[in-house]
Amino acid sequence: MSRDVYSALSGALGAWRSLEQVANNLANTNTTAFKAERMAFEVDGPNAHPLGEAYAKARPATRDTRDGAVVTDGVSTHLALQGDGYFVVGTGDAQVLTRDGRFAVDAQRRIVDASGLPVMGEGGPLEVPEGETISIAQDGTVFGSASGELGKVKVVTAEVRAIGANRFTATGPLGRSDARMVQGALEASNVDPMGAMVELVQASRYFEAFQKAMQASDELDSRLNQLGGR
Amino acid sequence: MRALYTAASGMTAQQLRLDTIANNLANVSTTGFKKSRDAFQDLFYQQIAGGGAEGDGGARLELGGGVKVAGIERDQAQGAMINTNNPLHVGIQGDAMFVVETLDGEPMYTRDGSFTKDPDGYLVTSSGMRVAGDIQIPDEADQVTIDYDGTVHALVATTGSDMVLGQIEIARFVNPAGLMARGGNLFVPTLQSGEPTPVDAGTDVQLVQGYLEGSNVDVASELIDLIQAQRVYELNSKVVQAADETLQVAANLRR
Repeated sequence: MSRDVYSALSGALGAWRSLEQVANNLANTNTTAFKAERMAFEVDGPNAHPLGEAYAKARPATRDTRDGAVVTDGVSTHLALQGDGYFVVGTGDAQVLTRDGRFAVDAQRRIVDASGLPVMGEGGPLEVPEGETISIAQDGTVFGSASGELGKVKVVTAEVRAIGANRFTATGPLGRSDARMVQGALEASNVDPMGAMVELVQASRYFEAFQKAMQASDELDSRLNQLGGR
Repeated sequence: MRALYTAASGMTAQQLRLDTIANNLANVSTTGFKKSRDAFQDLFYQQIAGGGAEGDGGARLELGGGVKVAGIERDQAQGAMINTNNPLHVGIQGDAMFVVETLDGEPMYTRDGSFTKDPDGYLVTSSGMRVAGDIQIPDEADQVTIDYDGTVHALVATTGSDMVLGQIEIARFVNPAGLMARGGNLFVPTLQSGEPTPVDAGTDVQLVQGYLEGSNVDVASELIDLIQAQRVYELNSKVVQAADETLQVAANLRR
């Protein structure tokens, strides 16, 4: 059995992974502040010899960090981030990062995210006094309609890892962010459906090509077997 | 096979979005109706292992598993005030809700101020629930006026007397989006909404006689959402098709 069939197999598996990646991107076309990810591959294997083995090896997916469109909805507790940065939600050790600014005020008057985790200000959770409406400046300063400045929404930069539910955990130190905030708006998903469809077609075609390569390799083996049989 | 399930999650999410849009559009003319929107979140990420396309030790190789609906959020924005010239119709301008009572005396909350009189003269909702404040309009009243603060007066033309009948009670919730809809434009409090706090109408909240609050559904933006939901559904169905065809190619390896 020749080894080139494994080279083709690694390529086919890579094409399948790409397809799964595109599937996830397209499923999240409407997910608030979703960032599209793309598979990347590199050549791997003992290729010192000019005709050595070469395999496709997946590299960590690259996240497209470009901002999604800012979609205005007029809800005063909704925030869209523009620029590199993440909101900090949750308290203590359970703090996570998110760009999903679908915030609301809960029964304890705290500003919370869509899952009910408190949104962190520079000095802890942010609270809205009874009967007041809030306005949020571009730099994140929160003003109450009667009591003035209430705090400032905390925004940080970091290397992150997606953990689902529009959340991320930091994989490195937190930095200072210059991201601006737009009140009464949400950041849309940055998935480009057109590009995703092209990737989808491409992945399918690559898979087909690798299948052909595997079949060709199989044919070659079968011919060799016939030689031996005579 | 994961791609199939991922795409299916996308299709299910868009289906739910269509349901929400359908309900919004069906309630374009419902008094005091507040539109809803779906909040989508990405699903958990899975570490990939095995196969020829494996990652090296230090770097993480993860694939997302699709999308889920995290919740359906109600938009509490004010609806337009529609003039009905009915003296018993009241619209709320601002953040508050009418308190009405079920037959058991349980309070419920509504923004629908299309009130009428019951046989005993009490101010009731269109479904016959009493408006809190025990407002009984006497038979001899020629004219009923409702002030901005909810005070109800009855004017008797023959005697020229102006009787104060009571005040329409309104309340506010910290998180009105957390209220549970009970149908019939009625809501009940939940843990998320918090407890009701009585509101003194007049300044930041006003009761407007002869008007009803319209639905806050914006038909144009709902239709745009509808088109988008349909297209995204279609895109996800294409992924199912592509995954299926790819699996077929794989199956054809063995001739």
